[in-house]
Amino acid sequence: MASVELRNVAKSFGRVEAVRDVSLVIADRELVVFVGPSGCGKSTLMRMIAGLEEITSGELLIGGKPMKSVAAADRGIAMVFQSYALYPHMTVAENMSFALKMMGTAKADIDSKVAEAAGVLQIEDLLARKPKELSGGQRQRVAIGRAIVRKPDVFLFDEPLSNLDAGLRAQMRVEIARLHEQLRTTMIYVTHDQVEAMTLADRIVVINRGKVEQIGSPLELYEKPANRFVAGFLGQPKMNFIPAIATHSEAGTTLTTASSGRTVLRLGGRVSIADGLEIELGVRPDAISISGPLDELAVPGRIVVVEHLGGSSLLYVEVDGLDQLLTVEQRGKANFAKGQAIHLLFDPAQSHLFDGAGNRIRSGR
Amino acid sequence: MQRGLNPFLTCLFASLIVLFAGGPVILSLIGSVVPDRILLDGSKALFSEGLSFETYRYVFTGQLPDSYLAENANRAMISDAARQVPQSLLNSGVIAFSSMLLNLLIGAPAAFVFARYAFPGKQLTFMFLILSPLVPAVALVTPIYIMLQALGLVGTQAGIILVHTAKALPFTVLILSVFFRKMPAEIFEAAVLDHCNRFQTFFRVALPLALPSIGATGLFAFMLSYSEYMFSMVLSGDAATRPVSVVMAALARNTDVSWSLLNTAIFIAIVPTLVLVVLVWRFVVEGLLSGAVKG
Repeated sequence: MASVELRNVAKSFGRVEAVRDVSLVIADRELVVFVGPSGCGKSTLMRMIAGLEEITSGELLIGGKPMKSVAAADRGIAMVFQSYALYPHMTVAENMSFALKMMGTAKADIDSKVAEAAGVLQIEDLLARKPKELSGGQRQRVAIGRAIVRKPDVFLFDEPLSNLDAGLRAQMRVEIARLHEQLRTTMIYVTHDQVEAMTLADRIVVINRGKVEQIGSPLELYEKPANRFVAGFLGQPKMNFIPAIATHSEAGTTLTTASSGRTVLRLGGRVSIADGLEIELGVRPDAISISGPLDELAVPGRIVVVEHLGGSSLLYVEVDGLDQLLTVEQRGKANFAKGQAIHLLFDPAQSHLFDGAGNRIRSGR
Repeated sequence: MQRGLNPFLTCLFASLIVLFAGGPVILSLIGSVVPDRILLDGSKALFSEGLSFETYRYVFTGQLPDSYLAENANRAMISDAARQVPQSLLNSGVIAFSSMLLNLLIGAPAAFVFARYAFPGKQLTFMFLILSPLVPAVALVTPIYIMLQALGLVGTQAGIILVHTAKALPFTVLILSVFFRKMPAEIFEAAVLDHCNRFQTFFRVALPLALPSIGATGLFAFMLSYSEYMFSMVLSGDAATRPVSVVMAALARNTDVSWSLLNTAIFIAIVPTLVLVVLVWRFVVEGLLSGAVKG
């Protein structure tokens, strides 16, 4: 059981700065997900915590102790690799017991620990097999089992589900969540999949270009994204961004589209942005409703593509003056057809405003 | 999906390859079991007198072939050198096997370090190692002879083993380092986290995974030593240390030599390599293929 603390941690490979000035405290027993696009430095950050990568500058503490001169094996961590990294020449049981054997644990002790971990993961009947005789999901379990056996203070998962097919991924995701419940250990989980991040995390750390964009609970990030990047990265389907201009009046703030000057939103209170400056309005697909043409704020558009998902439909709508299609999510079995003209209404309670630099001005009313 | 191959063409090319590679072996086998008087007489059919193993008998026991016991027979055609073949095979076996063992003992860890770790001077030493075979062997004969003489190793098998090891080592390191580099880095990182130090990572993880390629490189080192001639000739002493390549050369240099006897010696010298290839190479290829497919 241990907390993990990063203080101004940075990593550069030659001239390339992979991780820039990351400070973060991960509490004991917390499940924190590092999420970001590929190449953003999230894996490097995890590998520095693991001790597989040296820290260029800054400090790392695990359980309150500085880790600068502590070898990777002695940090009390266990890592589950993306490729599983099972030893192909050893059986499942040997794979799981290898670390204990190297530490000189007594044989009886090893056997009971392996049996216990195998029980937790329901892989007792696989113990005598070699990795190549296992399916992807089974290998994944063994890789997790190998980590559990060591009873680490901190679990590190490096994109553990990315090699599995969609169905298995959802199943393993649930199992990892369950495992966290069961083991109550600090876990750090790296993924580029925002669904995994949203569903698993106690807290999410969104990383982009080596920098932390925002840290918070999944709903916090979803409802109050700190900037345009976080807003666009989390949520499926992605948020729509519409260039807009804010005009202030007694009653509040009026937003008009930058291209056509059509009024699309009225917000109560004053938005802290200068009159007439171009900003961006972010609206998630489920915060757009279909209205009649008579509504004053309705935006006319034409459906270009309809995707029926069964329980809901995704409409891709062309709107005059916008380069990009707007994505609209409609619950229920609505009847929409390609080419149909419709009117859209944005929900002010679920709107987000971003300034020219992409930082959030405000979310909601 | 494999495209269908024309069975006739496949067969034709396969036969050509077999003929090219196996032809000389078969020729020497035939030549060794047909007596000289028939080999050298164009008017007689090749097997008109059946098979004769007299020359084999001579090589292993020293009993002269019957035809050379007759009066006026040119006994100079029967070279003493042929009698050295069995001993030289043993010598070559000892030398090639030791050279192979040394190569793997030194080369495999070196290849692993080159493949997986960064250290100062890595590029320079690797370049040096890889470029060293480009120096012509002829240029090295004298300096190496002087060095070994100073060590008192001229005329001993140990001297030849050392030189053969050094000659094959660049190839061993190069080939094995490619294999080690191809192994996924995550496996070695997992080993580091599993409390393995570098030696344990090498012996417990890298080595077992590299066994097929180690077999292949070992075989390569063995063959290189088995067929090496120049250093063997310069450094070997009497018949007790002489490897088979030197004996074969001595035999072939004799212009009057019995063709049958020469072919016998050639075939005997080929047999060990054939056996090795059949035994080891199959295992090696299977290992490599299964690794490639299963990933």
